[in-house]
Amino acid sequence: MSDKLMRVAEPGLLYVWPGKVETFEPPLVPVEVADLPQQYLLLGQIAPQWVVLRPLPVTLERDTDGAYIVSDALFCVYGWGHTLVEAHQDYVTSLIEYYQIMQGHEDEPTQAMFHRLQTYLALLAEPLTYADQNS
Amino acid sequence: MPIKTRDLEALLQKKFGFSQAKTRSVDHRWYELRIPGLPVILTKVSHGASEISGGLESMIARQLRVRRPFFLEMVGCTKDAEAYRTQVQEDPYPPFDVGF
Repeated sequence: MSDKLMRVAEPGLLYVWPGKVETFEPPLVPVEVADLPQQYLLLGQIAPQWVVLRPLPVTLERDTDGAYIVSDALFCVYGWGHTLVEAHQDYVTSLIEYYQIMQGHEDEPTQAMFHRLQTYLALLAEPLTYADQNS
Repeated sequence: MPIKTRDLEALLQKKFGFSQAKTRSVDHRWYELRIPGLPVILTKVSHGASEISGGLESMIARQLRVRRPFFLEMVGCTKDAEAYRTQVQEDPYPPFDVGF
Protein backbone atom coordinates (compact mmCIF):
# COMPACT_ATOMS: atom_id res chain seq x y z
CA MET A 1 0.00 0.00 0.00
CA SER A 2 1.27 3.43 -0.88
CA ASP A 3 2.16 5.57 2.08
CA LYS A 4 -0.03 8.24 0.51
CA LEU A 5 -3.08 6.05 0.84
CA MET A 6 -4.73 5.09 4.06
CA ARG A 7 -7.26 2.35 4.33
CA VAL A 8 -9.35 4.23 6.86
CA ALA A 9 -11.25 1.20 8.02
CA GLU A 10 -11.24 -2.51 7.59
CA PRO A 11 -14.49 -4.08 6.36
CA GLY A 12 -16.99 -4.05 9.17
CA LEU A 13 -15.74 -0.88 10.74
CA LEU A 14 -17.52 2.41 10.89
CA TYR A 15 -15.58 5.62 10.75
CA VAL A 16 -16.04 9.25 10.06
CA TRP A 17 -13.28 10.66 7.91
CA PRO A 18 -13.30 14.40 7.67
CA GLY A 19 -16.98 15.00 7.85
CA LYS A 20 -18.00 11.93 5.91
CA VAL A 21 -19.55 8.76 7.31
CA GLU A 22 -18.46 5.48 5.75
CA THR A 23 -19.89 2.12 6.67
CA PHE A 24 -18.60 -1.25 5.52
CA GLU A 25 -16.12 -1.56 2.70
CA PRO A 26 -15.12 2.07 2.84
CA PRO A 27 -12.98 3.22 -0.03
CA LEU A 28 -9.32 4.00 0.28
CA VAL A 29 -9.08 7.62 1.19
CA PRO A 30 -6.17 9.54 -0.28
CA VAL A 31 -4.18 11.38 2.32
CA GLU A 32 -1.45 13.56 0.94
CA VAL A 33 1.46 13.80 3.30
CA ALA A 34 1.48 17.54 2.74
CA ASP A 35 -2.00 17.66 4.23
CA LEU A 36 -0.82 16.50 7.64
CA PRO A 37 -1.57 17.05 10.44
CA GLN A 38 -5.22 16.19 9.98
CA GLN A 39 -7.94 15.54 12.48
CA TYR A 40 -10.56 12.89 11.93
CA LEU A 41 -13.30 11.33 13.98
CA LEU A 42 -13.27 7.76 15.16
CA LEU A 43 -16.67 6.12 15.48
CA GLY A 44 -18.17 2.63 15.48
CA GLN A 45 -16.56 -0.77 15.81
CA ILE A 46 -12.78 -0.48 16.01
CA ALA A 47 -11.92 -4.03 17.05
CA PRO A 48 -13.85 -7.22 17.76
CA GLN A 49 -16.28 -6.34 20.56
CA TRP A 50 -14.94 -2.80 20.93
CA VAL A 51 -17.08 0.14 19.82
CA VAL A 52 -16.54 3.88 19.85
CA LEU A 53 -19.93 5.20 20.89
CA ARG A 54 -19.61 8.81 19.87
CA PRO A 55 -17.19 10.64 17.62
CA LEU A 56 -13.73 10.69 19.13
CA PRO A 57 -11.47 13.31 17.54
CA VAL A 58 -7.99 12.01 16.75
CA THR A 59 -5.09 13.74 15.08
CA LEU A 60 -2.85 12.20 12.45
CA GLU A 61 0.57 13.78 12.12
CA ARG A 62 4.07 13.08 10.88
CA ASP A 63 6.82 12.33 13.38
CA THR A 64 10.24 13.94 13.15
CA ASP A 65 11.67 10.67 11.87
CA GLY A 66 9.10 10.34 9.10
CA ALA A 67 6.82 7.90 10.91
CA TYR A 68 3.18 8.61 11.70
CA ILE A 69 1.47 9.38 14.98
CA VAL A 70 -2.25 9.14 15.72
CA SER A 71 -3.36 10.64 19.03
CA ASP A 72 -6.31 12.07 20.90
CA ALA A 73 -6.41 15.06 23.20
CA LEU A 74 -9.11 13.73 25.54
CA PHE A 75 -7.32 10.71 26.96
CA CYS A 76 -3.79 11.45 25.70
CA VAL A 77 -3.54 8.05 24.02
CA TYR A 78 -1.28 7.74 20.97
CA GLY A 79 -0.32 5.23 18.33
CA TRP A 80 2.85 5.16 16.23
CA GLY A 81 3.77 3.40 13.03
CA HIS A 82 5.90 3.45 9.93
CA THR A 83 2.70 3.73 7.86
CA LEU A 84 -0.59 5.49 8.37
CA VAL A 85 -2.34 2.18 8.86
CA GLU A 86 0.19 0.94 11.42
CA ALA A 87 -0.15 4.15 13.41
CA HIS A 88 -3.93 3.96 13.34
CA GLN A 89 -3.95 0.30 14.41
CA ASP A 90 -1.44 1.01 17.16
CA TYR A 91 -3.70 3.81 18.40
CA VAL A 92 -6.70 1.47 18.53
CA THR A 93 -4.70 -1.15 20.43
CA SER A 94 -3.44 1.48 22.85
CA LEU A 95 -6.90 2.92 23.46
CA ILE A 96 -8.22 -0.53 24.38
CA GLU A 97 -5.24 -1.18 26.66
CA TYR A 98 -5.77 2.22 28.28
CA TYR A 99 -9.41 1.29 28.94
CA GLN A 100 -8.42 -2.04 30.49
CA ILE A 101 -5.82 -0.49 32.78
CA MET A 102 -8.12 2.33 33.89
CA GLN A 103 -10.85 -0.20 34.62
CA GLY A 104 -8.61 -1.90 37.17
CA HIS A 105 -8.17 1.20 39.32
CA GLU A 106 -10.81 1.77 41.96
CA ASP A 107 -9.83 5.20 43.29
CA GLU A 108 -12.39 7.93 42.73
CA PRO A 109 -10.40 10.26 40.43
CA THR A 110 -9.44 7.39 38.12
CA GLN A 111 -12.97 5.99 38.12
CA ALA A 112 -14.29 9.44 37.17
CA MET A 113 -11.91 9.51 34.21
CA PHE A 114 -12.83 5.92 33.37
CA HIS A 115 -16.53 6.83 33.33
CA ARG A 116 -15.73 9.60 30.83
CA LEU A 117 -13.89 7.03 28.75
CA GLN A 118 -16.91 4.73 28.91
CA THR A 119 -19.02 7.41 27.24
CA TYR A 120 -16.72 7.03 24.22
CA LEU A 121 -15.61 3.40 24.27
CA ALA A 122 -17.55 0.25 25.10
CA LEU A 123 -16.77 -3.44 25.30
CA LEU A 124 -19.63 -5.49 23.86
CA ALA A 125 -20.61 -8.91 25.12
CA GLU A 126 -20.49 -10.19 21.54
CA PRO A 127 -19.02 -8.83 18.31
CA LEU A 128 -21.37 -6.76 16.17
CA THR A 129 -22.82 -8.42 13.10
CA TYR A 130 -23.35 -6.79 9.73
CA ALA A 131 -27.09 -6.56 10.54
CA ASP A 132 -26.37 -4.91 13.90
CA GLN A 133 -24.33 -2.22 12.26
CA ASN A 134 -26.90 -1.50 9.56
CA SER A 135 -30.03 -1.60 11.66
CA MET B 1 20.37 13.20 20.86
CA PRO B 2 17.38 10.84 20.99
CA ILE B 3 16.35 9.40 24.33
CA LYS B 4 16.91 5.66 24.60
CA THR B 5 13.72 3.83 25.43
CA ARG B 6 15.37 1.68 28.08
CA ASP B 7 16.84 4.78 29.72
CA LEU B 8 13.42 6.42 29.87
CA GLU B 9 11.84 3.29 31.34
CA ALA B 10 14.55 3.07 33.99
CA LEU B 11 14.18 6.76 34.79
CA LEU B 12 10.42 6.57 35.18
CA GLN B 13 10.69 3.65 37.54
CA LYS B 14 13.79 4.43 39.58
CA LYS B 15 13.62 8.20 39.79
CA PHE B 16 9.94 9.07 39.41
CA GLY B 17 8.29 6.11 41.11
CA PHE B 18 6.34 4.67 38.19
CA SER B 19 5.59 0.97 38.15
CA GLN B 20 4.83 -1.29 35.23
CA ALA B 21 1.08 -1.65 34.75
CA LYS B 22 -0.42 -5.10 34.51
CA THR B 23 -1.57 -5.67 30.95
CA ARG B 24 -1.67 -8.51 28.49
CA SER B 25 -0.27 -6.25 25.83
CA VAL B 26 2.12 -7.83 23.39
CA ASP B 27 2.89 -4.49 21.76
CA HIS B 28 3.52 -2.07 24.61
CA ARG B 29 4.80 -1.65 28.13
CA TRP B 30 2.62 0.68 30.19
CA TYR B 31 3.82 2.54 33.27
CA GLU B 32 1.58 4.02 35.93
CA LEU B 33 1.92 6.44 38.81
CA ARG B 34 -0.61 7.14 41.53
CA ILE B 35 -0.72 10.64 42.96
CA PRO B 36 -3.37 11.20 45.63
CA GLY B 37 -6.36 13.15 44.35
CA LEU B 38 -5.52 12.64 40.67
CA PRO B 39 -6.44 9.98 38.12
CA VAL B 40 -3.70 7.42 37.61
CA ILE B 41 -1.02 8.71 35.25
CA LEU B 42 -0.34 6.28 32.43
CA THR B 43 2.29 6.27 29.75
CA LYS B 44 3.48 3.63 27.35
CA VAL B 45 6.46 2.64 25.27
CA SER B 46 6.45 0.23 22.38
CA HIS B 47 8.22 -3.11 22.44
CA GLY B 48 11.10 -2.98 20.04
CA ALA B 49 11.44 0.80 19.92
CA SER B 50 15.01 1.52 20.91
CA GLU B 51 14.76 5.31 20.81
CA ILE B 52 12.14 7.95 21.53
CA SER B 53 11.62 10.23 18.54
CA GLY B 54 10.77 13.92 18.80
CA GLY B 55 7.11 13.28 18.17
CA LEU B 56 6.95 10.57 20.78
CA GLU B 57 8.65 12.84 23.31
CA SER B 58 5.69 15.18 22.95
CA MET B 59 3.20 12.32 23.25
CA ILE B 60 4.86 10.91 26.37
CA ALA B 61 5.11 14.38 27.93
CA ARG B 62 1.39 14.79 27.35
CA GLN B 63 0.66 11.42 28.97
CA LEU B 64 2.80 12.48 31.93
CA ARG B 65 0.77 15.72 32.07
CA VAL B 66 3.73 18.05 31.65
CA ARG B 67 4.94 20.33 28.87
CA ARG B 68 7.71 19.03 26.66
CA PRO B 69 10.43 21.32 28.10
CA PHE B 70 9.60 20.03 31.59
CA PHE B 71 9.72 16.46 30.31
CA LEU B 72 13.14 17.09 28.80
CA GLU B 73 14.29 18.40 32.16
CA MET B 74 13.00 15.23 33.77
CA VAL B 75 15.08 13.23 31.31
CA GLY B 76 18.02 15.57 31.77
CA CYS B 77 17.83 15.06 35.54
CA THR B 78 17.22 18.74 36.37
CA LYS B 79 13.69 17.92 37.59
CA ASP B 80 13.27 15.35 40.32
CA ALA B 81 10.29 13.32 41.50
CA GLU B 82 9.15 15.94 43.96
CA ALA B 83 9.24 18.68 41.29
CA TYR B 84 7.29 16.41 38.95
CA ARG B 85 4.58 15.62 41.49
CA THR B 86 4.24 19.26 42.43
CA GLN B 87 4.00 20.25 38.78
CA VAL B 88 1.29 17.68 38.02
CA GLN B 89 -0.69 18.55 41.13
CA GLU B 90 -0.54 22.30 40.62
CA ASP B 91 -0.49 22.69 36.84
CA PRO B 92 -1.14 19.47 34.94
CA TYR B 93 -0.74 19.96 31.20
CA PRO B 94 -2.98 19.14 29.60
CA PRO B 95 -5.46 19.33 32.49
CA PHE B 96 -7.20 16.06 33.29
CA ASP B 97 -10.60 17.47 32.37
CA VAL B 98 -9.59 19.08 29.08
CA GLY B 99 -12.19 18.55 26.39
CA PHE B 100 -14.92 17.32 28.72
